[in-house]
Amino acid sequence: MSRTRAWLKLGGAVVAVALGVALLHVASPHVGGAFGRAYDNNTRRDIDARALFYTEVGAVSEFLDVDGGRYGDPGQIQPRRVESAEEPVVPR
Amino acid sequence: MSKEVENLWKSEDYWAIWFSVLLFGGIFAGLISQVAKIGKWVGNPLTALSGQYLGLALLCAGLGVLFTAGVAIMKGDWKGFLGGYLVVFVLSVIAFVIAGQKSLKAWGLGYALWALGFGLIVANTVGTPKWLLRGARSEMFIKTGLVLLGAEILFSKILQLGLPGLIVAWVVTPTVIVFMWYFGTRGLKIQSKTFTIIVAAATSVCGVSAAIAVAAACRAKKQELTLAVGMTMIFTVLMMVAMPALAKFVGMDPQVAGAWLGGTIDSTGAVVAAGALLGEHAEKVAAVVKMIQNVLIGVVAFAVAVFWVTRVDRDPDAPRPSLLEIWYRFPKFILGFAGMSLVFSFLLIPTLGGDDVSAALDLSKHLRGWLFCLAFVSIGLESNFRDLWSQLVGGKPIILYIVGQSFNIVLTLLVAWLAFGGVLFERVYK
Repeated sequence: MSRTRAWLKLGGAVVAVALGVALLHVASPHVGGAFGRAYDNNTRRDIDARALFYTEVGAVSEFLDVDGGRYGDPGQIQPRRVESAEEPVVPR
Repeated sequence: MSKEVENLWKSEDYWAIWFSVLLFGGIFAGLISQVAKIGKWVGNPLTALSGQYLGLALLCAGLGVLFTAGVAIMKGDWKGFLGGYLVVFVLSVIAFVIAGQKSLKAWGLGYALWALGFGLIVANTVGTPKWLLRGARSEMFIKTGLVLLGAEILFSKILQLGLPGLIVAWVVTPTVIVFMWYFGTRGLKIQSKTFTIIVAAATSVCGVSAAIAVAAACRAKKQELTLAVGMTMIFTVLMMVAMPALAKFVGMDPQVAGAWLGGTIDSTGAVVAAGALLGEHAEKVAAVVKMIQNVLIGVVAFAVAVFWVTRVDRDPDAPRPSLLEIWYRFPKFILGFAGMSLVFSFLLIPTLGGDDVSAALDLSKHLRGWLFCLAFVSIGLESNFRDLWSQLVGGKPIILYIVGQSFNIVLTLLVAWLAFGGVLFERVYK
């Protein structure tokens, strides 16, 4: 009897997970506010918010492209003090 | 010394290194040219498996042969392992399939959560039978996955990314770990030091992956890792939504906001998603800061392993352990983890070139994902809700996380402003 109950619990848990996933999928596009904006942006741009590590976020080269003049070009970033010692400070 | 030599083929720590070397050998020799990937789906989960059946069968067989051979050489119950492993693999496939659902992907509810969840469901309903537990070798899967992860930490590339990001990631992270350690052990008086350090690493470095690495380094209980991962994943979703909304509300500079998000939100995917809500510059700064922070995972795991062997696990009345004693007790897979990173960063990239190494890492990262998934299913199968609940009684774990994360948020904001707000350095994007 208790064995049957255990299997029924397992079946119930599986059904609950399936229903939860279905509910989340149906409800997500209708969520408003900050949550809705985050969801819309992630689905529209196909952003993988699940990534655990930087190598999983997709085109890592886009972020690591130091030659392309993106963030990370060592030439772009200089400590202010060094720069001001060598060049006249230009008001920004 | 002879025992240590014997450990080379008898301990899981060393086998994690041998497995990883064999997998990379297979990749570079062209024997592993593809790794099964579960696709996305919207309404029908079977579409995620489309065209992957053969790949999944080969992956299951390949990893099965490798690990069964390892277990046999370690003089373990290899027949028992093989039977349980097949079910653990099937549960891992289901976890990956569920995580591939479009909406779950957008919310950042990844395979780790589902793998843990399915394992827990089985363990806490019908109970995990003994034959299945023999295949649930969570530590073997985790350690091998971590050694593979080491190869993905490319110092040579990350260090080119500039001082502002380095300052945000590398100043705040150790400060937060130390703060949370003292707050947890002395302020909250949390009994489990392993749990405190896992939550501290997950909060300050990179969430789930840091939690796994540090848990393995200090030999934490599986329930502690389960709890830390669960808390991290829930708070990550909340922070992914709330922090960009707050930054927008107060009109924060996008570059400062990007660095703030990158330094605080736990998982990389959520960082990119949060940064993307604030524009391209914020997204790139956020991602780069997170990447630099990711590099610390190896350093933190190494430091925790040394700290545990020399301080925490040491009898306070005993004399200081000798170097040999430290070596015996040190988790050796950490050396494989750090070694892989150094070999790939400073040996393979300069000799083979970035493209070949990237292609190899593209395969190894999928293998590593499968190994972590197998590990999380195994951990779930070995855990029960009663133990998890007993850890939560009194609310100390949640207080630790919230106070530590709040400290992280404030400190990172200050350092992000100094480094990216045009105070210490020229602004990255003019």
